[in-house]
Amino acid sequence: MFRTIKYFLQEGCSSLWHNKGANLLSIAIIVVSLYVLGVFLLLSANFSQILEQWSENVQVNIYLEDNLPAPVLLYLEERLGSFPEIGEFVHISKQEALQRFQALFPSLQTLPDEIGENPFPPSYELQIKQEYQTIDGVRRLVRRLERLEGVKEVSYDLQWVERLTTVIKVLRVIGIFLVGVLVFSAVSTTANVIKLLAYARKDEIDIMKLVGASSWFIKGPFLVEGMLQGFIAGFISIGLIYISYRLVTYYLSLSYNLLFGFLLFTFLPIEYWLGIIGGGTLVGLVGSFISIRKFLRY
Amino acid sequence: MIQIFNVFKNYDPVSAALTDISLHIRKGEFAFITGPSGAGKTTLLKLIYREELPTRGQILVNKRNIAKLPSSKIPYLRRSMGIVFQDFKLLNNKTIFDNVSFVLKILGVPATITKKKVFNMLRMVGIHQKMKSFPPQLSGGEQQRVAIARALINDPVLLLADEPTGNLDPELSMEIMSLFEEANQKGTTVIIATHNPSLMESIKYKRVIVLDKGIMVKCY
Repeated sequence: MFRTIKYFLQEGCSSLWHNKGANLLSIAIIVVSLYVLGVFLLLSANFSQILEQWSENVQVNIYLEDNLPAPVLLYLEERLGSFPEIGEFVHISKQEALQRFQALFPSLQTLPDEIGENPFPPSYELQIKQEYQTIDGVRRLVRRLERLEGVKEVSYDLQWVERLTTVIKVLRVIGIFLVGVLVFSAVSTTANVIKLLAYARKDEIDIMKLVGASSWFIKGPFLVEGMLQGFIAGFISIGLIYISYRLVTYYLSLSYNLLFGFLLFTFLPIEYWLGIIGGGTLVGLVGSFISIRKFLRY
Repeated sequence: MIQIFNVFKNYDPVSAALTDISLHIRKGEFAFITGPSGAGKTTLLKLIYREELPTRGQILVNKRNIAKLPSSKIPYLRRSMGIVFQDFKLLNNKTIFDNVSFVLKILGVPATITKKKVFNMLRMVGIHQKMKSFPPQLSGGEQQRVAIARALINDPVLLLADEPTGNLDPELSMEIMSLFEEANQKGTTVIIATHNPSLMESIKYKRVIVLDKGIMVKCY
């Protein structure tokens, strides 16, 4: 068994080296498809992470009408405490809201005096419990909060999360389609390259059959060759994805663009690397298996 | 060893390559299949090593009906026989040693045993000094010796040869025939397809099967 695997590896590597031209073509096509796959995975992983972070900090603000009597405020607090979705909540009075504004924007400290009154409404800041931090859950809560007495307006910062979720969905659909097409072309290129190599070695294969080599013994080196093509392509594509990632993050950091600056903050985790290398190896294996299957029938 | 019952072989519906062949070759025999070009000699050999299937009839090799042999078992059938061709069919990108040792590699024989066995076999056929050479560097006679060494390395019960001296001069042909005879004396059944009558004369105890246009015209 070990001897046979050693033989497959030796022959596969030797053929890969001796037929560099054809094999490079095959590797290049697999690299392209894995690169596109990797880019989509990278974008998807980053967007998902952003989504997760944003979702974790979902905050709902209830803006109240001015000068609500104390019993109404008490009633409101009692109701807020009864909602299972709401964790902690803090009351922000008109005066506190003004102080926060002045602390955040010192240059606009005189604004309330200029307009003659404190324009900030009293409010409640609500923290949403982890298990209810879904778009639909928050929306349902907001609808119920809007119906409460004394509530002027309810705001929540999930609009970006909603948009990003749509972007990720679109991205995934495009990615799946594009990667599907590219994987198909990679498999068929590998299949054709291996078929060409097998035709070039037809005499050798015939002789192997005549001396009693089993079908698997003949197929083995070709399958190893296909797998090696995919394996090498996997490594190259990860390298290229990493270079692209570094270049993009470098140029984004130069642009000082706050919006895009944090879009790419993490590279693909190791599981994805293994997935890409494994995927490439599988593409090579499937391609070579398809081509050699018919070719080696007794 | 080989029993052939009413075998017909048609490559196309119009012309028959073999018609109603029945014969029995016993273990340890030295048999010649002879006849003019196109008589069906090569076809008969191909049927025996299951390169072709008979259109009709049955062929038993070592009591196995090879017409019904599943494809996955063909390698095992061929491992029990050695085959020699007119054009040698050697792997030109492998050394003489590797060409012969390849058969043992298929069987998973350990490298140390392989090395010893291949060297002894190459010495037996008189080509051991060139075991690191490649086939194109050898003469026709030398290449055929390598092919015979490869055919015999696995101690086959049956040795098939299709015009093994077709590319060789008469003197070399006799040397090659003596290798076949030697193998036969050690118990291997030998079947040689040839149209060269002088080749048959070199062997004393033999069976001769004469084919003409796919029909067995004589068997003695």
